[in-house]
Amino acid sequence: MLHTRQRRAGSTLLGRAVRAGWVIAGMLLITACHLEMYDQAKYKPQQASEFYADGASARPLVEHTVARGRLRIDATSTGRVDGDPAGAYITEIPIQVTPELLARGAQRYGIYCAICHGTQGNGRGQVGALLNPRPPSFYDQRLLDMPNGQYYETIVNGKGTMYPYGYRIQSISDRWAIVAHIRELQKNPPPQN
Amino acid sequence: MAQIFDRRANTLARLSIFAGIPLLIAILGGLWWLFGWSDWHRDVGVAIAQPGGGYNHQLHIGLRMDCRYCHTSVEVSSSANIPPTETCMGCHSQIISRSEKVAFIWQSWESGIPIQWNKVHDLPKFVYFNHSIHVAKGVGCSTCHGRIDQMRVVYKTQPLFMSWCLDCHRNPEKYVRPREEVFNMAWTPPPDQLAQGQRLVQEYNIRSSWELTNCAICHR
Repeated sequence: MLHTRQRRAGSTLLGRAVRAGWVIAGMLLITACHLEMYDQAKYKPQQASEFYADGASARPLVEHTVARGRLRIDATSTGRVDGDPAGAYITEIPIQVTPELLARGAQRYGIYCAICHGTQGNGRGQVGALLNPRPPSFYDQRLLDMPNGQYYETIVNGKGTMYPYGYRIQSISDRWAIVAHIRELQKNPPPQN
Repeated sequence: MAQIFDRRANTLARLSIFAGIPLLIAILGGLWWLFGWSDWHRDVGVAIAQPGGGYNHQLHIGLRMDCRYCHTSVEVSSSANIPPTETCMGCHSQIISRSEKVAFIWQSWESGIPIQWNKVHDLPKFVYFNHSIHVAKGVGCSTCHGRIDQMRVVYKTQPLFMSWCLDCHRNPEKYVRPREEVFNMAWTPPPDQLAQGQRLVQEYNIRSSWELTNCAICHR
């Protein structure tokens, strides 16, 4: 019996292996799960921040900020002659109207405009029907006569109860594509509007 | 005195230690493994609480709103943006504008403090996922996000495991759809999906699975 007890005390190879096993198991316990790589100290787009009072990591731009090289004051980017805010609206669409542009315009119109103005442009979109006043029909004489530049400006800055869409439709050619599409709609009025 | 245990009992005692402990570790490890790979662990199907009771996608998409009406940057940017309060106000300055349900939008609009939506599909920071390339190559919204148009509160329908990403990166033809169907929530794969998928992979110049499974494609 005494002999066995001595062996239990752990001087044999097996005993050492067992003790080493305990140490390894203990080390496994203290490793735990580290998530530093999972949650890195950096911000991804629109992530919340505890640093700023408004809770946003993305900082609002100082007013009138223009990205370097992006300043454009001309008819194409504003819809007015020479980009003068007090100038007259341009009447022509300043970029080339191709079938591709029209297709793009129809697609963009479907995304951003049709919901209120209706796919046919008669002001009877799903949401437009809930509005008071309703959006006007593009087939009204006033809108038929409206210069292209004013359509463009309305897309960018909004008008009346319509909020600006410039920040959503950022591409200048996309905006003109929508104008071109509206003109295309106006060529073929639906039977009743 | 008669012995209660004979000599063989020693073997049993040792066996219970040297086989029992590994067995226990194996069982616990197996459970850990199953847990780690379970949808449950990844909160699949668990609705995430949102401010103001959340944005009801089912209701809004039911009005024929396009995904891009709000998530405007999805085609041109890595992130499919959450819209600013201004986008909400575009309608809710007039529609049910006095309802309690949209009071939190007004609060954000008047204070200038953004609404803090809770992220549902939250990838680790070491993953560089880019929405625009997926959308451009014919990976539809519903492939990863599920039928958002049927969700009153958004939840995950996919576990977002790396193996799940790789499943498509290895065999994109199983999932790609025509570009014009990308934003169609109701799209279902045609019976000849593999044949069509292979054709689209060619047409859209989708990279080989060898390139798409390069570590640096997602981890930079």
